Amino acid sequence: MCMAVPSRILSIENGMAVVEAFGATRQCSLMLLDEPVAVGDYVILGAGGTFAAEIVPQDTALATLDYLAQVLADGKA
Amino acid sequence: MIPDIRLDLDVTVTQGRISGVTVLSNRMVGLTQGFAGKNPVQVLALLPTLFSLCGMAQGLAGAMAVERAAGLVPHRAHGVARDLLLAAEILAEHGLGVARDWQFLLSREPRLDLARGLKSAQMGLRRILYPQGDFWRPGGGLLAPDLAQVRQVLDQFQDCLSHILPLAEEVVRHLARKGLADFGATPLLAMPDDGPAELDARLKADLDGLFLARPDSQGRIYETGPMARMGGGDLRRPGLCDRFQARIEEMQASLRLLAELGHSLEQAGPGCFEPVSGQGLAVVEATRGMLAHRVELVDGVIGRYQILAPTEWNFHPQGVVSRALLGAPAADVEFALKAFVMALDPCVPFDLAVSHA
Repeated sequence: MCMAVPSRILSIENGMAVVEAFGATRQCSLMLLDEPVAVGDYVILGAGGTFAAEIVPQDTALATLDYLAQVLADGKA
Repeated sequence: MIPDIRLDLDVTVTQGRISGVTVLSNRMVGLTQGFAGKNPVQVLALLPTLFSLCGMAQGLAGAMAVERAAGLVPHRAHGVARDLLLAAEILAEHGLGVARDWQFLLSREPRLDLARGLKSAQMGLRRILYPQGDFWRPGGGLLAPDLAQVRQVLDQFQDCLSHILPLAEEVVRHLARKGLADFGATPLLAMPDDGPAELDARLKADLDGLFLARPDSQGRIYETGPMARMGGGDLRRPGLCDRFQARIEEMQASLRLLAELGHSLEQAGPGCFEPVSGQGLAVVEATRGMLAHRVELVDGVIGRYQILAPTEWNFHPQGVVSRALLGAPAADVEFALKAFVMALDPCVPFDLAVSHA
């Protein structure tokens, strides 16, 4: 289904962010967000992975990442 | 490392027509297996983030499934709020598609300004109705709508749509001018309201996950989503333009529904989930089609959790994509295929490969 991985913002420049999740980095646009973000914040990428669609509170992001890590480790997907 | 989740659509062209279609997916349909043994309230809090593309529909389907398993009936005010938030998500997601993706079909850049406005309105409405963000709570979250703010957001949706609808209609005219209006025309096998009658039994029996990955109903692979929902009246063989038009009509219908529901909002306190045992199935209409959550509770803890998403129906190897594309004319085939997949909106990236035999 439409799984999303909370990604941590590593850097921001000119409306573009480099984000990281599970060791993989990618660039995404911050143009869809209606609130400012900072390095260290967590975002969800939209369909296609080129836009940040939503800001995720850190506690929710970490809990989601913990769950995904568990799923990958168990091979249960 | 998280796998790169994608759909692969491989098409073979012979003598000017599509002669072969292969649809492959590596979507993680068993992702919820790890919910077993966990507190359902904690799991529901993760759903809108874990499945954020249709986060509202996913969160509410989860809440409703747990409510049914627990015999928990939320205050009627939550029903109105939930319908409003689902309609807002459908409107926003369709609009995002037009602003962000459909512009490719016109060889134009995405309209990020319109996309941002829609997303802002959608997320704003969620915060206005459930200020603590707990719309996913079984029994309902803390519902405290500020009606003046709701009206402002609805005006924002109206304004966005006034710009988006002309763009969408332009896409439909462009496809028709390219001779693609009837591309992929195939009999409409629409998902029944509330899903197949045997859905609960099939999910309950699906111990190996094969039904979740490739669902059917007595051999029928239904189409679900805007085309199925909007019915089409006596439309029997919708083509490409009909599918885009169905999304346009659904945006308009969703905006009307928002206006109606906005007058019926009330306050309600959060529900209280008690540890019980039971089973519950909830079906909601998400942006891309029918979404089903089924949960089994054992003494208040999740025993089993299943999610059947609309993409598994629409991109089933023998589903509407294969049915529609087989035999279709192959003029400008890559463009036509991209448009067709866009019309079905799989919510994951897809790769197209065309070979000639």
